[in-house]
Amino acid sequence: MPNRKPYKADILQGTLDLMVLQTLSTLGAQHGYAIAARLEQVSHGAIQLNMGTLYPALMRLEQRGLVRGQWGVTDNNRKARFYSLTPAGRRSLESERQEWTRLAGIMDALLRGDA
Amino acid sequence: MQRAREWAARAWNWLRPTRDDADLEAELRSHAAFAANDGRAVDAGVVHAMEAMRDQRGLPWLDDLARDIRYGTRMLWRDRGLSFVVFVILAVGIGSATAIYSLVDACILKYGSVRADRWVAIRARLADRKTTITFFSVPELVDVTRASDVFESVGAISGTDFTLTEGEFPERVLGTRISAEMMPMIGVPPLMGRVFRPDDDRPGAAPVVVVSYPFWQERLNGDPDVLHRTIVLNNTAHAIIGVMPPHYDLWGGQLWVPFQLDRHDTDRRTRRFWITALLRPGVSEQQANARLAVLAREQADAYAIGQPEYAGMTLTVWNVREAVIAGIRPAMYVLLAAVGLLLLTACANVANLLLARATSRQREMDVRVALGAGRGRIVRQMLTESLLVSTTAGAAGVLLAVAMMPVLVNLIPYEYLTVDADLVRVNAPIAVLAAALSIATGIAFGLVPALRTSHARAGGLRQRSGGGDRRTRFYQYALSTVQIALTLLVAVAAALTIEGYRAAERLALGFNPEHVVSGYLALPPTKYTTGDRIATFYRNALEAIASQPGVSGAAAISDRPLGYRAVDMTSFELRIPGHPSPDGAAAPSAVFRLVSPTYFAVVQTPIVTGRAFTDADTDSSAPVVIANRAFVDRFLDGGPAVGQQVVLGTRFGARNLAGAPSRDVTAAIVGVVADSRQTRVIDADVRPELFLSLAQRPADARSMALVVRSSLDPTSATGVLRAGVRHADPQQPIFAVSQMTDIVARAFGTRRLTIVLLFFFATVSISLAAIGLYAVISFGVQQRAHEIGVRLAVGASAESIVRMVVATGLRLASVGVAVGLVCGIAAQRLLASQLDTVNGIDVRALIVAATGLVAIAAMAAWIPARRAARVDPLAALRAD
Repeated sequence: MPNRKPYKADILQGTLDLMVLQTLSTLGAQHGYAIAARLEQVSHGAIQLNMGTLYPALMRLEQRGLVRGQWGVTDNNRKARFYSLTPAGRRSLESERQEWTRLAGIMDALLRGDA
Repeated sequence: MQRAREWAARAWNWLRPTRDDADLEAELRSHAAFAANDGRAVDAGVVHAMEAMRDQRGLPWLDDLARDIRYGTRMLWRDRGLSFVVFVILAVGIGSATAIYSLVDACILKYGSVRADRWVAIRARLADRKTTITFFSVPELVDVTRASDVFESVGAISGTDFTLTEGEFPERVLGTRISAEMMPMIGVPPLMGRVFRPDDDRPGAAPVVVVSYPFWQERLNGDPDVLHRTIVLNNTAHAIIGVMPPHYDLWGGQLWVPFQLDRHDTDRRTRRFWITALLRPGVSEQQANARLAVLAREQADAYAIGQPEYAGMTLTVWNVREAVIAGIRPAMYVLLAAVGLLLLTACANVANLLLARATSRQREMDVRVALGAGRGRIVRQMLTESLLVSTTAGAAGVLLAVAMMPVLVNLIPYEYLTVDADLVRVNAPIAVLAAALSIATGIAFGLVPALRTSHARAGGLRQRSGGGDRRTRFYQYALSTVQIALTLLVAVAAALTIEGYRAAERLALGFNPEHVVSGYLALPPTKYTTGDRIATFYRNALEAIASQPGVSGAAAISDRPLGYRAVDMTSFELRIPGHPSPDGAAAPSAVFRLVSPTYFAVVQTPIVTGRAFTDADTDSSAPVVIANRAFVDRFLDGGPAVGQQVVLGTRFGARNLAGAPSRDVTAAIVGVVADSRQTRVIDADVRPELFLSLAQRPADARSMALVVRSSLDPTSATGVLRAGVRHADPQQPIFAVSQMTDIVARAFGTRRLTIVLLFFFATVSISLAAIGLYAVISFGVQQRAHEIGVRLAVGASAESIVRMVVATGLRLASVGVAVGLVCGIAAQRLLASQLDTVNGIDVRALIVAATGLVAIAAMAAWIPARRAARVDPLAALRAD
């Protein structure tokens, strides 16, 4: 059995899917590299996804019917696999986002009150 | 939902990937190309990412499993001899244990209907604490029916003989009279038609009958229109209203007729049926007994003055199934113990073989660990191999059990199969249990090499060790020893049972069954209304039979020896003047049998002292009785018996066949006869018996057995018996005609069954032990090939090698036998408490079993020993 390396940052496990979905929602259909580049850019380099993390996650989302992958051609005329949100993915993103916001709000209030 | 979808997609991909590896790689390559464009090198990540995507794509552990199975199969094939032996042992062990348990389960544990747990019979015990009454009167039935707080329903039942007039000769069929409650109580619906309703059971209702499936098939030719037919029973046409399904058994018999009891009857003296009842769900037997105790007190208060038997009488319930199976229970428990031992033997054997194999795999394991295989991975590999063997063996074992069932069932005498043969099926839960036990053994011992590999890690690769380390060898030898000890136990049990059987065969029967045929008569009370008529019938019949050529004698007795009747036809309260019961102990009780004068001469039961009955003993002469030895020993202290007076008091309890209750009668003992085996349980103690003269009590003699001794062949003798009865009364049927030798043989039936099965076990166990020993020793030889090669190279002779190997086998066998003997002696004590013919330590059985096993062990060791002696020294040395 191949040894699966742990994710670089464990917190990504739960939130990676949400990040990917949000990215696709913001940018529309994108290939894997563009998603990774966008996340890196938005996080100011804090999130650097390696391929071994990103692509299984994309495959998982595809298997769950949240995104759809299709080969296409970039503006520069290069072949790439493009991922787009499905209606189910859109719904999932919405509910996940609300959940996240709620949790963030709670954490925020809690931490502020603590200080 | 999303998860389910993910797994469905993965399962689908596992079967048939929607994206192949090239597609995955193309995506990763395109990513790498984008990265390179941005001046980053990520090519190294492609391989790892491929792997991660493949894992995400399908079901990787299934792939691993398939790989494990392929590899495991290859490994098992490499050691195919050993794998096969493990497979055979497990299959035989699981198969035979399952088959035997299923048989025991069908015969004992499942006897009766689903409601058997709640189905009870009522029995009364008189104040003397000895006399048990199982027959009751109508008012007593009504009394019990009132206890509806503990009983869901209460009914009356009694086995009876009917005269069936169908065709040329009247025939006797065994039937059962039941009240309408009985069939619903058991809960089995009829195959056709209906069972009795309360209005069928009212006095004066139209006569109806429900017939059994065999009766329908054989007597009525399976007529589909049977429900419109009538049959003539006891000269009355009975309409057939129902046919019960095959294997339906309610008190035996081939047909059922409603009792039509008059519930307003107040006669408490005429007791002619059993009362059975269904306990309400949740009501324990103790609760029912407590309720019956209240009832018995009420009865005593109300009726003890007129009927003294009510004073101090207790009523209890008695589980019907318990009553039926009590006789064969000990034998079945012995068999169950044997099943357990057999399964243990098989497990010990398998454990041993797997240990042997583990030793030889050690090097392989060490290499794999050294090459970086994780311990979990190796454990899984070992598990896969164990499970491969044990699950296939489990399946084969179950198949074997299915195949064995008909063979085993055929070995059982019909009468001792308490259910019909085709109802005995393989019991699924026990098959699963047996398989699980064996598989667990396989897993436990299959893991040994993987677990020991953890030690190997520290030391790195070890040198190949000859024959495994000392600890393994210790375990192996210990397991062999245990196995041989267990086998000895089974062998001892078999030897003991056979010994017990032969002891029972040697029991003095007290009569000579050779050349004797017998049959039963039941004279209908409607026709034989007086004692005179009954006496005339027997006189005419016996004279007609005895006058035939070849016949040396004919006689009548209430029940033939080893007969089927459980209840005496006559019963008295007995007092022996001059011999008071010591210390106020219970009054003497004896079995009473009516006999015609020549009975003892015909069956050749010796007269010890005094005389037999003669034609001079009539109803006008002084009443006389003959006692058996057991009676004299028990009640007369073995002292002089002839001339002793006995008082036969008013009867109670038994079936009242003779009309009016008799008054006290004082009779003199005129003779003492040898004890003879009368009851069906052939090795039970002979009970005290008193024989009465048929001529002096003809009114009690409606149901009798005739016995005929002749030099004729059985068919002619039977013809003479039938002709004699026909001569006395052409309408009178005779039934259950058998040769006495057959009856004696049948009385040994349960015992024979146990022996057949134990013999089977012993054979299987010994074979397993031999196979196991053979495998362990040949494995040892294989492991020691190097050592043996060296020995041969330095001049050891082939014979000395053979001796060395055989000695190893014999040492193991001897230790095992020694351990087994100790346990065997304990087992014998246990058996002795179960089987009354097994007395103390049977040295011979132990010696036979022990020497037999050692001889077989020597054989099992000899074959690999021969192979060892043929080892080519050069090849053996080169191999390292």
